[in-house]
Amino acid sequence: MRRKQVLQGNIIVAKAALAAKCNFFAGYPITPSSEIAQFMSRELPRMGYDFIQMEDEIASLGACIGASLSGRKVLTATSGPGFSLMQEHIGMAVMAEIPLVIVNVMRGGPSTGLPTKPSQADIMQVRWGTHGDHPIIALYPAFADEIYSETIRAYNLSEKFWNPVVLLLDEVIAKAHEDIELPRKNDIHIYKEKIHRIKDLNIYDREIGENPPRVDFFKGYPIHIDGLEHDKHGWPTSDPETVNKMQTLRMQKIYHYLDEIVKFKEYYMEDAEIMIFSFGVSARSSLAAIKMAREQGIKVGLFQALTIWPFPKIPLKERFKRIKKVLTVELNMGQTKYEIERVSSDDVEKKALLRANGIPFTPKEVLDKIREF
Amino acid sequence: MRNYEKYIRYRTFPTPWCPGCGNGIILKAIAICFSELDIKPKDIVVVSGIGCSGRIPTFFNTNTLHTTHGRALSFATGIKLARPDKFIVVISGDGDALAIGGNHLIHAARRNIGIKMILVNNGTYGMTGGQVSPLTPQKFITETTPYGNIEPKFNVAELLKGARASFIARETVNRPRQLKEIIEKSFKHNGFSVVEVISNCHINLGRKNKMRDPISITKWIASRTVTKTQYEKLTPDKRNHIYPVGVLFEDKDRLEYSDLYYKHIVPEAQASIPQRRNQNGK
Amino acid sequence: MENRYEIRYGAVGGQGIITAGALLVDIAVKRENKFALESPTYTATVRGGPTKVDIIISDQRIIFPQACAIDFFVCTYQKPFDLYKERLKDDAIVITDSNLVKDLGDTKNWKLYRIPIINETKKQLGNIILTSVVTLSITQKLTNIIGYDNMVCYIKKWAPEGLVDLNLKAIKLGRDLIN
Repeated sequence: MRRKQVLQGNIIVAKAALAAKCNFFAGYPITPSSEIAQFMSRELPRMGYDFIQMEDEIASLGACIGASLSGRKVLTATSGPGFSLMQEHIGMAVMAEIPLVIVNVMRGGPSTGLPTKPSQADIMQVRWGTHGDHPIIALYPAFADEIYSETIRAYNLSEKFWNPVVLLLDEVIAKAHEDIELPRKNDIHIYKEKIHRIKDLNIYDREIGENPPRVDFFKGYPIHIDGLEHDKHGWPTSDPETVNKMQTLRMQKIYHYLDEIVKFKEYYMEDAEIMIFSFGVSARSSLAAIKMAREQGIKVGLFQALTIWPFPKIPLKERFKRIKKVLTVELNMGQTKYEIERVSSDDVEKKALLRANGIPFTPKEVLDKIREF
Repeated sequence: MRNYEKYIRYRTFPTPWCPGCGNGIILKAIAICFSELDIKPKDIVVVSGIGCSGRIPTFFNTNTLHTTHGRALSFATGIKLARPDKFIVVISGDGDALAIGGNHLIHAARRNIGIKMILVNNGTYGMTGGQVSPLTPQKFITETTPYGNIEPKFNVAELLKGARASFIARETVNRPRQLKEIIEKSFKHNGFSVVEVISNCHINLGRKNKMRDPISITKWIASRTVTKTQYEKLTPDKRNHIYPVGVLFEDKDRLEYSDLYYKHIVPEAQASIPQRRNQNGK
Repeated sequence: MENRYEIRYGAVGGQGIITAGALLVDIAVKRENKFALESPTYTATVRGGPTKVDIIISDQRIIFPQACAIDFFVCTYQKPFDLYKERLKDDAIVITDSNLVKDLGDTKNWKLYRIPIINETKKQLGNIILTSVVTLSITQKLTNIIGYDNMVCYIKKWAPEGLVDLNLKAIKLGRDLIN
């Protein structure tokens, strides 16, 4: 048997990133994510890799994009206010199709907000923070072992789809020290793409549904990477037809592979009459509440989203064919509540347990809400 | 084909610049330097932000990266750290480098990271139609200072000196030959280097200030610049609004950031492994 | 709900409770093969500000990661006592420093121990940093959530060279204070 360890959530992220072969970190200190940077500043130079503390979050993500384009697997970690500053560069990375992993250990907002109380405040910021239509992947672990596996999955997805992936974490979980059994090296699957030797500038030349190859400076033909809308050569263009094609390519590279990206866990769902939709620490409150409710004979189950973006629309629609009562539990004023309204029909009775005052729901509070049905 | 032409991406022409713009002179001067130092195009990355000068990299047949407004240095920092053996050039305008990107500029200088920066100073935001920039001279009329600019401009060389840059130079597009030589010197410097190139925007700046053609604005630039030796001979009262050109400051002894990182931090970190092993990250 | 035991330590920064919490969880997980979780609070005031650490120990995977019905509370200062006595069970075991926590308010059905933890640690061991091990020892004795032998074994390995005896003395002091 593997020996159990006690590790802080933030440290689990850092360890998993290293296991996924992360070899570059640029960041800026912000509670409650700083332990990730601290751990990386100690470990990366030991492996002969780079850690740099930049002058702000904008520069941090800039440095990460530069390093990613130079063949590195990068990480940065921040919290809500820093994540706001990163938005322009997230857009740049989406546009130029650059793999990145960004950890956002959320705190109450807006502005400096509640330093540093837990809040599931950035669900919508992750989705629509940067301007323009864009694909984004966001993962949301709740338990210690999920933090590890989802961090690795974040790298695999970012490398496969050539897109930024955001790992959302709740302050409560990131700061807690929890028991965890780390997987063996051989049990970790790390996505390895084919190295495409670039022969010409046409780095973005592909058909809809095809996975893009990873582009790397210094690997062959000198290439051009641009934050402007571009054609298959990476070349700035405003030709409507080309723009349309490139937009579609970028959106489709994710929406073609929903089965692979969208991941969730279900608890007590076989006979459930009420479904709780939740994620992160709220899913943990909900699960504890469900156990109490089941003892009282209430048939309630949990749909825990591990991929929050793209939203698990198809599996949820499937559940709503049978389950006609849904309770959304989230530590904000209703960010995914509206998503649930979008994916469920009118005959589904919807309730939501919402708050954003920095205190996670206790299982008792969730139970009381369940009993309102 | 002349030697420097292999560094030019002809298929991307024409350029987006107005006739008579100084950006073409800068483009060619840099290409000649690449050619004279014989650096392989695939070993070069030219990075830029947004603006007229931000479009210069597009025309180099090297690796090129056109980024967000003001942030080119941060991208370049990432590239340099990841690949210290490569040749990284940043081209940035005055608004790009000193207004929105001022923070990155002073920190890159402080770190002394081995990036060669060409700071194109045309005194205005050309691409957006000619608004006031941190290097617009006082009293000048621009689109956003219709009654004249009341803000003094940065003294770029002094600012960078304060920020601990290890190579600072200034030249003008009026003197292409000297410009090429200065850029070549900066390219040979191991550390963060900045060449401020005073350029002309007769369309968006000159037009509003009685210098509507390239000749009159370059003449005005010439009247404001002197060589370093000439400058030192001037009495302080005559130095007002006169700028010396040439290499203004050079510190050859300071170690470059990635050198320092790999020669100091990495061995230090590796030496710390055995003693700390049993602490287990706590 | 799973079979869980909730412990809270409250103090002012510098009294060593964060270490006490970390030790307790580590012993529970590594020596007793239990499931455990510890969440320390942190404020800008690292030294002298109110601090707490919540520890949850269970035979099953811990689901809800925060303490909501605390079984056992040790507190060594008045302000953290006032702040953190919420969420205590009515029949919780409560240990307070008899010199530094004067006003207990409503003591409900608490099983209360008022003992001079800080003073005795300073007097007998010479350094209040050892409050961490004293607190751990008190917790062990009163709750038996971890085994005594496991605790002693762990502390012997954990203590820096030359300080093992002092730490064992701290364990003894914790036990003596309860009697």
